[in-house]
Amino acid sequence: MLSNALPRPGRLPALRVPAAILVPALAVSAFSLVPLAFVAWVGVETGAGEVARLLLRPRIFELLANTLLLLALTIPLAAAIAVALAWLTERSDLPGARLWAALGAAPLAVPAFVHSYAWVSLLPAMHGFWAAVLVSTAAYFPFVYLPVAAALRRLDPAMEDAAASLGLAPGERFLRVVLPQLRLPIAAGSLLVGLHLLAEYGLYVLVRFDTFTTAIFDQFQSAYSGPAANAMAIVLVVLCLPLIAGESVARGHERYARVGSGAARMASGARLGRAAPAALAFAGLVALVGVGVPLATLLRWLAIGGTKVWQLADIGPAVAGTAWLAFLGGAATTLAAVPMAWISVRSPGRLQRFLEGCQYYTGSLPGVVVALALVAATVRVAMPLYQTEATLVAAYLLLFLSRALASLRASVAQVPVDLEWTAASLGRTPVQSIAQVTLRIAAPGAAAAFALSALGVANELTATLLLAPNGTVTLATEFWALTGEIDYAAAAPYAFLMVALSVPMTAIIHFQSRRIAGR
Amino acid sequence: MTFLDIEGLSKSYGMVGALSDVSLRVARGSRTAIVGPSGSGKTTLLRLVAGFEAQDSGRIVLDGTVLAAGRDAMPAHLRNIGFVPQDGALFPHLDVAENVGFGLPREMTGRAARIDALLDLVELGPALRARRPHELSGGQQQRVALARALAREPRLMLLDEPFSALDTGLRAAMRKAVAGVLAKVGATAILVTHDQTEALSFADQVAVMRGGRLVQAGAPDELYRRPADRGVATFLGDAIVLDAELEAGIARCALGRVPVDDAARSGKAAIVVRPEQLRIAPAGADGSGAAARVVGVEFSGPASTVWLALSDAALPEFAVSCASSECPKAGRDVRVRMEGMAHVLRG
Repeated sequence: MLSNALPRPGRLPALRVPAAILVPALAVSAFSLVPLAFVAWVGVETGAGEVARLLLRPRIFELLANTLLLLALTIPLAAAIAVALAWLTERSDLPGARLWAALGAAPLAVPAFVHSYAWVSLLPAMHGFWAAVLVSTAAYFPFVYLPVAAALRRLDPAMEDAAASLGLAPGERFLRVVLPQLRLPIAAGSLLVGLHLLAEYGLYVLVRFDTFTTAIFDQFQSAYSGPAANAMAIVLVVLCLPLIAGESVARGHERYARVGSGAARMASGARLGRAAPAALAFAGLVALVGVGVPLATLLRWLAIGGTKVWQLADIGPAVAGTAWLAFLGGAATTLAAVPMAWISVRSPGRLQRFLEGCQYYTGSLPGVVVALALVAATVRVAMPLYQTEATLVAAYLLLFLSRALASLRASVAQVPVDLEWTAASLGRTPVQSIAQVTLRIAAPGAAAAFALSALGVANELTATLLLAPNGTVTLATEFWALTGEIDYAAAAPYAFLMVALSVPMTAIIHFQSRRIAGR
Repeated sequence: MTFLDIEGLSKSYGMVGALSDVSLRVARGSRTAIVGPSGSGKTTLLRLVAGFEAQDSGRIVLDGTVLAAGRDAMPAHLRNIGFVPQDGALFPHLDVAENVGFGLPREMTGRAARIDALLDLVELGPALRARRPHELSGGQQQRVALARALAREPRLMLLDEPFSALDTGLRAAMRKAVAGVLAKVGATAILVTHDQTEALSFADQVAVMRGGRLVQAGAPDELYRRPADRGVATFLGDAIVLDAELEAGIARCALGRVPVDDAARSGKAAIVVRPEQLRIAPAGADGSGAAARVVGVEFSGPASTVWLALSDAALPEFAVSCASSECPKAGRDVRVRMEGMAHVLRG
């Protein structure tokens, strides 16, 4: 009596995953492995001996020393500034704490290469290692500031009270009670800073400091998909992988820390007393370096340029090109994230976590590696796609999938599975249930996923420069071209538009981190 | 006649067995309640019947159609089994009419009239048609969920703890209303609950689950009077379990010599007495029953709860309800007599 048409139940433990969801999820995960496959392929194709010959050169060691020194100095500096500022804005009676907190997140609204442009055009003498450290710190310290400030807001002040009653002075309490609890957010933020330092291209070109990424870029432009650039990409990926692994571990733990934060009493601010002027001066200096200089320089160039730099004939196509690519990239990324987001919420398991991990790690890879991988893949396997919009959008997908996934996942998790079951009991197929009920209700999360990835695309420079078809103009590429010609005034409108685009996203991230903490 | 036939159904999640070898028959047009503590597998059983998950082994046959056999399972959307989840689970993005009509084809003729009729059936006025779920009370949400599930005239209705989110006063009223609606449309229904009063008052058949197994199934009064084991006895209501020596339908126990419902058995056994079978008499009235002492009295209006300790047996104190006007004072010696028969537990 049982018809043969009955589907075989899946082997996945929690819930049967419909093929219409599983197959796209597998496809996206497989595609996400292209950059790793590229690295492996380079190793095999080029041969160990040749790779060694390409890499064991004084120039490579110089680059490696540059890059590692940059990380070794910038990360602790950014972390120290971030922790100090976070403590001042969250745990002290610093006047105007909310304003300083907003200014602590604000540097994220300025693309790193615009930070660099501001400093270089303000002080042409700024170049080399120390300039790189200063500008990197200013551009990236918010990555540590945001999680640390959020963690400080969540910490139960009762523990500090207990420590005080056990005879610890304020300074000791911070070192022995507060700081140990901030280890995870500091680690997560620091690793994120490290990944950005490894990936950034524009910032270091402008301050004339060579890192692996800039060197790979130069190699690629002089000798296309040459073995030298590819071999250097291996080193860059090897440098990234421990940071990616560490970051995901720290992030995973942090998520647990958030659970059950409960309704802890809010911390009362420590009294700064006579230290208040010094604290204000510190907060002011950080804001000046992180936001003041970029904005002031930008406004100065806009004033110098006047109305003649706002030529619709020049800016119009760049805005249109950016909007188009941002739309394509955002839509493709969000769509690609849907199957995995659903699976990881509805049918969690070890295999599913692995598939999800595949889709997450590419977001931490440098754009230059992703671009090289796609160049190699299209040239070898799918030549018609070489230097097309499709390949560019694929690169955006790899770079921003993790953002879309995180946002979608959170909103799918808020849709009770009961609703899908009910839809099924009312005759909807699994895919219909997901499309008509779950995704419909998760629409705000999907919109956020789209916005986050579209804004990422709008400010993307490295992969766009490497992969865009001839004639593509975006805000970032036009800005880059004009800056390259030292026409700082003409570049200013493009920088201004990119910053204006980023402000809403930065504001969302800032307020979200405050809301998670319950304020 | 058997309408739903569940045979040897098993399901495990990884190493954890959620359901093992459950068999249950449900008659057409009847109401069955599945009760058990949380983690007993009752919700898993419901999900397997609904088709939300696939069983590891066993068979489910509904009105001659095989829904599940071995590892094969017909997907939920092809089964036409109505489902009323906990909290109603109304679609938050749709209004009341759209929720009720969710299962009806868009192009169906007389669709609006059908929705009105369904709302009428669950006693919701047409004024609520355009409301969103968050604008409804808990009871109204449950009624909408019921109407939504009934829209496709399902062969079987499954209700997953549908009243647990309502407050106590509303629960009884909703239970009655739902039972009324189900009777009116002649639906066969299975209700999952952890509330034994709800199960006993709602259902024609009660199935008690524990640790993934179905321990006992039968008519509510049958289960209450003749529980299979101590667990079922205490789960379905207050019970006093006593060690006894049986002989020819009489048990010698701490309550003295009492009649039991199993004349065939003899020797040692455990018997169950419900507190409402016990009567309190002044000490030395006629000498029948067992001597006891009143250790406490809890006054609650017309009836009071009397806490008793038996004088001659090391038994925990137990509570007996007693009309307040005839209630003995604390500290008094009394006699306790049992009415009716005690039930002999298996094994």
